[in-house]
Amino acid sequence: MKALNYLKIIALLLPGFGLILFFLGMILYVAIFQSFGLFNLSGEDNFTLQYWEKLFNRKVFYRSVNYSLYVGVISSIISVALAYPIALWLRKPFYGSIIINSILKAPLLVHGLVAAFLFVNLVAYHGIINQIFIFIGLWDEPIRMQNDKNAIGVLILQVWKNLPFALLILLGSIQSIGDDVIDAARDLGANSFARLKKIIAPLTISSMQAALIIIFIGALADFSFQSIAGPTNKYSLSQLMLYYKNNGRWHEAAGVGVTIMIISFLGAIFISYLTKFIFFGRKINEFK
Amino acid sequence: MYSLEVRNIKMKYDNFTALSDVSLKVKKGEFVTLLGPSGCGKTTLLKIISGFITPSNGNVFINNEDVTKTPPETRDTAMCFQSYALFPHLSVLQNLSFGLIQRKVDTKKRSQILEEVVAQLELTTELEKLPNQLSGGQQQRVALGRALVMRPEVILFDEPLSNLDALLRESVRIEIKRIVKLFNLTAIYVTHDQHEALSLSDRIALLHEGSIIQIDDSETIYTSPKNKFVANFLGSSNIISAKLIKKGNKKNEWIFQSEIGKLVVYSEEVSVKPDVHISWRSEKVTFNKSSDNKIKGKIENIFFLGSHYEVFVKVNKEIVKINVSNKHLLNKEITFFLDKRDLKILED
Amino acid sequence: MNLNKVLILLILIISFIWLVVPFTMAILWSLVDPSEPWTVDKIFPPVMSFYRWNYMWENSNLKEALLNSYILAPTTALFCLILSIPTSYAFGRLNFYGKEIAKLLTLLPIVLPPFVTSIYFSSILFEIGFQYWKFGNVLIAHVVLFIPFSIRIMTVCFEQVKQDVIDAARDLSASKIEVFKTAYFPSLKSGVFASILIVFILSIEEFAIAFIIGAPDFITIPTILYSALGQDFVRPNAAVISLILVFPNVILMIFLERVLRSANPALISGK
Repeated sequence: MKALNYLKIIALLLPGFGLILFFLGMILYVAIFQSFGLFNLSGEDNFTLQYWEKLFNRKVFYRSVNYSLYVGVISSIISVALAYPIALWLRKPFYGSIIINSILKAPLLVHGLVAAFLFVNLVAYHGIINQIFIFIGLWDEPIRMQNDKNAIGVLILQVWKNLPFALLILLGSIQSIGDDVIDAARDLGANSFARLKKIIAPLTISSMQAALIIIFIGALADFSFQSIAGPTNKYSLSQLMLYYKNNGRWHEAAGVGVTIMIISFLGAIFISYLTKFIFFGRKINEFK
Repeated sequence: MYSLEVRNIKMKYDNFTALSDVSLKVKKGEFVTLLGPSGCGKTTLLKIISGFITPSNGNVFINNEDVTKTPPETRDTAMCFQSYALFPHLSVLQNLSFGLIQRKVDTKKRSQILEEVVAQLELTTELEKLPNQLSGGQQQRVALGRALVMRPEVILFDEPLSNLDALLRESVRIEIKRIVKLFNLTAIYVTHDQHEALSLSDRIALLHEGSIIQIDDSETIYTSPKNKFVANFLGSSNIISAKLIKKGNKKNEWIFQSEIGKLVVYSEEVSVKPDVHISWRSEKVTFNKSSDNKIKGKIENIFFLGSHYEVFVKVNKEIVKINVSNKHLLNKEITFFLDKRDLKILED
Repeated sequence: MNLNKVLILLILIISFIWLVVPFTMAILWSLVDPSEPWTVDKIFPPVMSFYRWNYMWENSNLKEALLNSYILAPTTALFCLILSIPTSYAFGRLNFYGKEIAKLLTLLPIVLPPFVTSIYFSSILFEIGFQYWKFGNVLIAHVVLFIPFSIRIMTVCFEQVKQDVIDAARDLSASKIEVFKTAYFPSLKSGVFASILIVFILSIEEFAIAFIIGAPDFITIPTILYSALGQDFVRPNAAVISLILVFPNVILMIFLERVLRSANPALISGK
């Protein structure tokens, strides 16, 4: 009877969960082994470390890692940091709050590529910003802002696209904090900053972590924003991976892919620990 | 010199008046209960005192200082919430010390205060636990402790016992009274439970539809309700309409005609209106034949309530409720007596 | 009160810069007539017409992309829904060892970077020699990538079916079909809608897989937008494709919001 029950559950899980597990397992398996020279698409399979060695000897690899980390870290922090005060403001409904909420979430409806295009329209050499500044006479001639070398454009796009997402996640969990708890903190003398740091942030820490991790991974592995609005002299990891793949260098592409996954994984762990440390770390030392 | 003074408070929302002109003065160390049915404005008043709501009109003074515009963060009040509102992610100790840290009390003073409160509330063994690992009564004590360590000028209670079961409620009630007196705190206590109000308070303010109907010490408000609402809300009362016949022969004695017969009532009022309501408490019946008013009726219903019987008696067309402890008196008919001093003339 | 008004105003101004200006620009650009270019010294395009819209419709592979996208998306949505139901039922109504871990692992496709997924997916397809039926490949990848959303939504729905309603129905001697109709159907209905709509939108928008596995033989709207923004960048043409990609989504999302709000607030909050 018990065995039958288990069979039933497995049968139920197979089409959905099983499908995911099968394909994702395959993907991880192939990615890892391909980076070691197996699953060769154009020759003999050979277990070798040479592709990893090649990667580690390339400057472009390190530059990509650095660059993608930079985009990932900055975009996730800015998005979440901006989302918190907005979510707090929208915690209680007020006249017009629904409209504000919808406006803020609107970027979720806009495809990343479209967003990139719209942004490029604004900052392009012939874009509206140049037009306006020349029109009012502040600038004598158009300034080149597109594909800036600090990737400000990419960061703006990332925040534009991810802020609503962070807001969506945070708002729910901020709204689930009881009014009494926040009132109690006020009553005990906590000002808005102390309430945010000591009560609201720790109580919404899992949403905060989820938002940070998902935005971090998304921005780390970004391809579209980077290839349209990013600096032209830098490759993001996804770009680098695609570049290898398009040149038929599957094993090196696999190496980059595995790197992305490892960084994502480590990043997720790091974010979890860091946030925990910041908001729960320091124990108060009282009498024993 | 008052610890707390509330002067002419009005609170209006768009199309609803929560409080209309409430004033209240509370002395240092006094325990005042705001009692009333739900929606009477008692919680609104508490939130105005604590600073969470700014009144539309009027002022709040703490220690003779106008704090109407002072935010709750810096106001010298501390609140015990109905839901306890403990910080779920902080240990008991962290909950207790939260306010002191916010007020930047130095470590030495802090541990001294904490030690005293923790000992008084018997929380010594629970300090490292998180709130959800505590029982309801312990959570309540932590909430109380968290407010106590602040040594506030005024401590506020918002129905603190309503989430506890009946047995705990009594012990925590005793505990609250003891602690409040021990630290000589001025306390404002909101409840809709008359037993809590009667047992805890130095004075009770009975609120109804946004105003204070009567404010008196427990005994006075119970024995001499001002009007029908008070008489009905506190304890169980019989209220009957009556017409003044004449002044009695003795001093302060008035004679009325009512549905249940002629009634002699004692009142020190100089004059009495011709049409009044008279109330008496169900338990204030005697079977002492020398009493002033003799009433006879038919028993309609009897409920056994443990300490006594609740008996519904039909007197002429009126049904009155009396408490009887002696079973032998309960036949088809009953004759009981009312002392003239137990009958109260209500203002309308 | 006043501070709030200032903040509302501020958000409105920001969102104006954030949303209205860019979209107006896109619309204007899509209306630029090729007879006279829109140069930097002019605030508005000198000549406006629907020439670009016509041109894109007649002379590019836009039609093909639209057709592909709008066949692919509903098919993906349907497959995701059907395949997710047994798993969601198990997650929502049965208890078994390792359920929480299984639920967590279900989210894996969402967390894994789509470019990594798609590259190794295409590598697997190569390995098993199945790389030629592009539509099928993209479809399978989309189903795997988006089924977590269906499972999540349907799980919540199954969780919200009230046991006492089921019991009551059975107590009143309802048949299995009747039990389903009275107890399950009401809370599943909105989930089915939500799941189909969300997967539909995600699939229409999906770029990485369509680009890596599908392109260049199998094109969808995002992939032609990408090439319109990249190698053959003509601003007015890109504007046309952008707008074609955005507007159906906006309408669908507004519809989705309605469905969710009227039916099941827990679906949005994901609790």
